Amino acid sequence: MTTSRNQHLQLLKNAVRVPETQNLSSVKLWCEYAIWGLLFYDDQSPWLTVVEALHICFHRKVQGDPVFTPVASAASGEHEAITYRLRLNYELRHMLFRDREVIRIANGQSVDEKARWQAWLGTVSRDYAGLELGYLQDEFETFGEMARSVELLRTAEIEAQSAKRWTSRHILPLGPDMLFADVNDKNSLDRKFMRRTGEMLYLMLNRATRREGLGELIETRLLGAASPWNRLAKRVGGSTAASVGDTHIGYLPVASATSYNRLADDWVALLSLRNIPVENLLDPLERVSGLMQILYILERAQETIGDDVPVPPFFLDLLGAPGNNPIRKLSANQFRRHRSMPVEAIGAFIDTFAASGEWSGVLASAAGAKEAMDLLASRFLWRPSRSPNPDWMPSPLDQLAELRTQAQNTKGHSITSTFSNHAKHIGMLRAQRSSGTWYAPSDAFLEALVLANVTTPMEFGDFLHRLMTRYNIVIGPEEVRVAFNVKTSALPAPLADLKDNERRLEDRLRVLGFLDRKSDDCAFVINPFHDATAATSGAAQLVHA
Amino acid sequence: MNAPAHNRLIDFLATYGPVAASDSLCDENVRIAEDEYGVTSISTQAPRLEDIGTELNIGAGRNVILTGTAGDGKTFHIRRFLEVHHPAALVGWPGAEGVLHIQLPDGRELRVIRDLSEISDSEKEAELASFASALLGETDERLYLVAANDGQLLKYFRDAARTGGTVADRYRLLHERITEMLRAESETANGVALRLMNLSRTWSSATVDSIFDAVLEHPDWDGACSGCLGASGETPCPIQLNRSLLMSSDGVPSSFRARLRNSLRLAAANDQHVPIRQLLTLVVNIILGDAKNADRPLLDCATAKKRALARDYGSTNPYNNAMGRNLRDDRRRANRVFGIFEVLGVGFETNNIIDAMLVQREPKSLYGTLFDQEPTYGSNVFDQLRREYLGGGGGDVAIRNFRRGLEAQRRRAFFLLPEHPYVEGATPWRLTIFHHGGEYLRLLDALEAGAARDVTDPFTRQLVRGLNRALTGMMAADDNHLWLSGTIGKTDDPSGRVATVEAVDRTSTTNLSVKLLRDPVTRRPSLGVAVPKLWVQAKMPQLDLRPLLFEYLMRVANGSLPASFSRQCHQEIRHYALVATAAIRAMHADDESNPEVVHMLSLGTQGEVQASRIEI
Repeated sequence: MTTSRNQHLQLLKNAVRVPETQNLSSVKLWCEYAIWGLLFYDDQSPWLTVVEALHICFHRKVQGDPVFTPVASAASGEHEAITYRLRLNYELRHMLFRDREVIRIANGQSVDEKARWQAWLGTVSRDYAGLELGYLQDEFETFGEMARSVELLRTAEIEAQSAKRWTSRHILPLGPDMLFADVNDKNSLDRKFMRRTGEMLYLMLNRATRREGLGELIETRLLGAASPWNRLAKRVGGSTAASVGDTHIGYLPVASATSYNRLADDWVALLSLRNIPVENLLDPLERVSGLMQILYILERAQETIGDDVPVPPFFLDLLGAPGNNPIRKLSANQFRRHRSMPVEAIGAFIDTFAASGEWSGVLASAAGAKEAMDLLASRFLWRPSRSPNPDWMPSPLDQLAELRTQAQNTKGHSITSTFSNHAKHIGMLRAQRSSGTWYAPSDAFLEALVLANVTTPMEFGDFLHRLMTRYNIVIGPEEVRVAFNVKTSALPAPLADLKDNERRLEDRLRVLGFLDRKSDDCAFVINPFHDATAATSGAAQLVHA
Repeated sequence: MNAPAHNRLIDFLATYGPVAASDSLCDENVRIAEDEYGVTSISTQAPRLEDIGTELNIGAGRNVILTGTAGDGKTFHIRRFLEVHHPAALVGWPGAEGVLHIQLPDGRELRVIRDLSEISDSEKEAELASFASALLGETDERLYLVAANDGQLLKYFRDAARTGGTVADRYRLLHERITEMLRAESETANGVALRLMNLSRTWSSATVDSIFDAVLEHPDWDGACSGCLGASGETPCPIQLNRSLLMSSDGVPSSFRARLRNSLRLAAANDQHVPIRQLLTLVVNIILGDAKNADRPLLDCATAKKRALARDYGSTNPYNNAMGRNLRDDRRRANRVFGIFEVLGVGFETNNIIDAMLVQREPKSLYGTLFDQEPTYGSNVFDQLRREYLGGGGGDVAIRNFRRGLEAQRRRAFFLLPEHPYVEGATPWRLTIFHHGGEYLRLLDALEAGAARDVTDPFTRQLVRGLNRALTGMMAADDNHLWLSGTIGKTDDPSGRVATVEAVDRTSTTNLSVKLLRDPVTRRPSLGVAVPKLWVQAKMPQLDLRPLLFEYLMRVANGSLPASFSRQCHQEIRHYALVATAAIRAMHADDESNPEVVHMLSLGTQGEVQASRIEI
C-alpha cells in the first residue's frame, strides 16, 4: 500500500503501526506521540481522564458491544480500531452549571406552584432562546422537588473548585445520563480539557491481560448498575440523547506493558470493594489511574533512553517539615530526575533516527537540504521554520537541531508538564512557591493507595513493600535501601529521618482510619471497605506484582 | 534519733522500678536479685500455664507460640512450664543454645525456643523448615513451644516467604494465617496446628489487683519497718504513707487504687495494654518515687527519712509518681505505663469547677471532699503555695511553684474525688481528656453484665445524637432516629445531607433498630443496626467504640467539637456510615415494588431533622 498516510512515521522498535484511520492533519511534530501515544495531555486532569474513558465504556454498552475489544496479537502490530460518540446532556448541564434561577425561586416567597413554574420558565425563555425545559413540569410533581433534585445533583460535581467554563464542568460519571462531552458553547467538540488522555487510559486497560474480568466488573458496577443518581439525572435532563463525535480513538504505541496490568489490577481491586457504593470508589480510581499513567510515562521514557537502569523511585516526604531538610531535599531531587526523563527520552528517540541509514544518506547527498526537509516531514510530520530568505534552505543538521529543540521544549503543553500536572492532581506532588516542588502525598492519595492494595489486614511493613514493588514508591529506610541500591551505610538521607518519615506515614494512616496498631512491633493496614466474608476468593485473585 | 533502720525489701522493690538497670531486667535477673536481697520473691501467676500444659502434654496437642510485648511474661511462662513438667531441662537454663530439645514421654520431641529474637540467623534458618512443618500439622514427631513478639513472628515467615522457591507458598500461608489470628485475636485457626497465646491480652482487673497485692502485702513490710516512723502523724515515712494510700483503710477501699485500676482498664480498651512488668514498675514508683534528684528517682530508707525530716513531701507525692513525674522525660517515655497517663493528660487538662475549688476553696462541699482527707499531700503542701501566690510579692518563683502545686492537686483530685461528687461537673474524669471515661466504663460494665436495654439506652440515645450531628454536619437534636447520611460519592462537599436509606428507629422492634452490644473479640462496646428477629438475618457492620470515639460522640452530642481528635473519629464514622448504608441497601435490594427514595436533610427550628423526599 503505497498511498498509506501513516506508515512512514518514525516509531520505536516495539510500537504498533499507526492506523490509517488516525487523522494526524493537525499534528505539527510527531515525536512525543510516537514515544508515549496520542496523547497524554497536561490540562486533562486524571478525573477527566477517567470520565473520558467511561464515555467510551458507556458508549459501547449502548451499542451492545462488550466493554473491551479483542486485541490483535502483539506480533501483528495492529492497533485497535474503535470509534465512539460522546453524550451531550445539554439540558442537564444547563440546569446544573448555568441556571441561576431555580434555587432562588424555590427559596422565594411564592408558594403557588403554577406561579413558580411560570416565573422560572419565563427566565429560561428570556435568557436562553431555544432552550426547551417544559418537560420538567411533567417529570416532577412540584417545583420544590425539581429544585432539590438540581441542588442534590450539583453536590455530585467533580473538581468543583476548578473554575472552568460551564461546558467543561462534570459530575460523577455514574451513568450515560451523567456524562458530558467537552464542547464549546456551540456544542462543538473542541476538546479543551478532554483531549484523548482518557482514550489512552481505555487502551491501557484494553491491553491488560485481565481485561475480560475487568470488563465484567465495570459492567456490573458501573455500566449496568442503573445508579439511582443516574435515574435522577435522567429526570432532570430529559429524554434527549444527543451526542457528538464519532471520533477514532487515539494512538497508543506499546502493545503490552506491565503498567497496563498493574493499572487493571488496581481497577479490579477497587471495583471489587462491593460493600460501599461505587460512587465512593471513583475518587481513588482516578488517583491510581493517574499514578499508573505517570508511571507509564516514566517507564516508557526509561525504555526509550535504554541504558538498562531502573526508574528512580518516588520518594515521598511525609514529614512536611519546613526548610531545606534532607527528606524534602531527597524527594525534590527525585522529582527533578523524573522531570528530566521525558526530555532525555525524546533526545534518544531523535538520536536513533540520526543514526539511521536513511539519515546518513541524506547527509551524504548533494541535495541534502531538500531531502532532509522531505524526510523529516515524512517521519516527524515536521517542517523547519521559514527563513526570511526564500532561496536559502537550512542544512540537514540545522534542520534536525531545530527539530530537536522544538521537540524538547517543555514550555506549553508537553509530556513533561503532563507528568508534573498529573502528579499534582492525584495528590502525590506538592508545589510551594519559594520552597520548590517535591513528592508529598495528600490524604486522598494515601486513601487511594490503601483501598487499591489492601484487602485482609496487611502488616504495615508489607504495605510499604507493596508500594515499592507496585508503584516504585518508597518511604521508610528498608525500602529506600533497596530502591536506591544502598549496599552498606550511605543512605541518601539520615536513617533517623527516614524512620521518622515512616512513622509519620503510620500516624497519617491511623488518623485516616486505615491503621490498627497491635503492639510496639506490629501494626496492620486495614481496608474498612473490604468485605471480609468474600475475602478468600477476592484475595486469591490479586496478582502479585 | 534512732539508728537508721533499713528494710532490704525497699532495695529489692527498687529493682522493679523505672531505673536504667531494669531495662534488661528479665526473668532470670529477678531471681538473682531475690537471692541477693534475701527477701521472699514477689510471686506472680502464670495465668496460661495450664493451657500450655494441656496443649503440649496431651496426645494430639498443638504447637504453642507465646506472643506479647516485652515484660508480658513470655519467658516466665516457659520457665514455669519447664519447672512443672520438665525440671531436668532447667539445668543450665538459659544456656547458650537458642533451641532446647526435650524428649517427651510419648517419644515425641519438644523443641523450646525461649526467644525467637535471641537466636542467631543461622539457627533460625535451620529451624524454619521443621517448625513450619510442625505448624502445618505434617508431622507427629515433634512439637514446638516458642516465645516471640508478634512483629518478629510475622517477620520470620514473611522473610521466609520472600526468599521464593517452591516452599515459599508454605511460608506465605503460615504468614497469612498468623496475621489473621493476631488481627482477629483468635488463638486457633483452621489448617494450622497452633495455639497462639497473646499474653498481652490476658490482662484483667484481677491481674492488676494481684500485682498490687503482691507488693503492698509483702510479708517483709512488717518487722524491719516497725521501728520506724509510721504512715501517719506530722512527719510520716513517705514510703509507708504512699503504701498506705494504696491500701484500704478501715474497710474502705482505696480510691487511689480504684482509679488507677480504672485508668488501666480504659487504656486497655484503647489497646494500650500494660505488661505485668510495667504494673510492678508502676506500683513501685508510686511508693518509692522521689522528684528531688532526677539521677536518683527512687527513695531508699535513708532518703525517705531525710524527706520526712525536711517535710519535703512535695518530692515524694505518689499522685505525681503515678504519672512518672519524678522521672526524666526520656526515662518516663521508656516506661509505657506512664504513657497511659500522658494520654489522659491528668494534671494538664483544666476544669473550671475543680480549678476554682482548688484556688478559691469554693464550693465548700467539694473542697471538703478533697481536703478533709489525709493532709500530707493535700493542705500541708498546698496551703502555703496558695498563700504565697494569692498574697502576691512572691514573683515568678511563687507563680511557678503554685502552678506545679496546682497540677499536683489536680492529679490528687483525679485520684481522690468520688466518681459522682455532689457538685455536678466535678467528676474526676473531667480532669482527663476522657470526660466521659467513667461513663464508658459503666457502659462496659453494663454490657459485660448483660444489662437490660433500658440501662444502656441512655447511652444509645446520646451516641445516636452524636452520630447524627457528626454525619450531617448540623446541630441536630434528634436522638430517636439514626440518619446514615453522607454525600453523593466522595466529592469536595463537606456536609453530609444526603441519605439513601430511611432513618433507623432507635427502639423499633418491627423494623431496623440501633443496638449497643459488647464485641466478643475486642471486648469493647460496639454500636450497630440490628435486624428484627422475624427478618432474614444479615451480618451488619458494627462501629467499634474505642474510648476515644465514644468520647468524641458524647462530646458532639453535648454540643462541643473536640478539635484535637475530631478528624480521626470523623473518618471512622464516615467509613461506618458508608458500609452500613450499603448493607441496608443490599438488604432491600430485592423488593423492587417501591420506587427508590433519597432524602435531603435539613434542620427544623427545634433542631429536628427534616427530610425532603426525592423519588427516583
